[in-house]
Amino acid sequence: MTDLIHPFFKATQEVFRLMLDLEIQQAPGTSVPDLHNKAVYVSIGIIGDLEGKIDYCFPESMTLEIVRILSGMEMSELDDFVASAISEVVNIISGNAMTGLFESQVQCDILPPSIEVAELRSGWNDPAQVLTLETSIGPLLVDVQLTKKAA
Amino acid sequence: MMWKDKYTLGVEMIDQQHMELFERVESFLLVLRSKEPWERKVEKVKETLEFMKEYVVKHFHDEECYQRKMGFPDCDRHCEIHAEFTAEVQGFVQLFEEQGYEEPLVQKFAGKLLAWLINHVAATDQKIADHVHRLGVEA
Repeated sequence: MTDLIHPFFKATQEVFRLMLDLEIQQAPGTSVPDLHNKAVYVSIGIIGDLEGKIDYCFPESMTLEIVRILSGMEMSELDDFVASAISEVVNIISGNAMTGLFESQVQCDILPPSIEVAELRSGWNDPAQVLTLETSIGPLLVDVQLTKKAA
Repeated sequence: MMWKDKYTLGVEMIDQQHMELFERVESFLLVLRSKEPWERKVEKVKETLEFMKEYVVKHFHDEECYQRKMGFPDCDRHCEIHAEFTAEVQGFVQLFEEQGYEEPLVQKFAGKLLAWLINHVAATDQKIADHVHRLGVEA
């Protein structure tokens, strides 16, 4: 059975390394860390052999820091510029993950991302499908909600 | 500063064009993110878009010619990525012309441009350098 989680880990690791010079590590276990304050949810739909969506959850401070690293400019609020830049980063990660899935003969496409700023959700659909990643600028959650397309 | 030495491909013409693109985008962002009133920023926005429309097309063309010259195996896919981005920029330009240069839309364009450019140069274009390196060809 195809591992649906690993391509997202690999893609996130590569994008963080190349674009941000940051290393990521998978947190042990399936516990979801406490995120304080607001979080930025970027959701991206998947169509093709698999259907569903991927939710990326970034703490507010981490989102601002990512865009600061990219631009070299201090970011103080989650405005249209920051939302667009972080959505594009997610777009790139997800596109790379689709390439990873394709190498396992799973063909999918991504849909345009949507973004929402909210308090951290208390529950996740299936903790086994949630990648909890640690970086030096904060934790990142990737909730992979994919199912095989019905024949 | 947006430009990093690690983005250098070792191909002088392409590296110079990349550095020019980064400088122009950075200068655009400095104006866009400043506290100046929007009316004062709009001229810089229009100037950058005019530059991007012309310079990006020239750069993509030059880079694609170089890829073909070097027999880069992923050239077709790379050209598609260029075409997709060009279409996105044109889509924004069309929206600006239809809706006016409204700040939220321009900020959205700038965020996309920033992340796209860095990924493209830091990751996608590096594959050209890897290929040339493998050939052992003097760039």
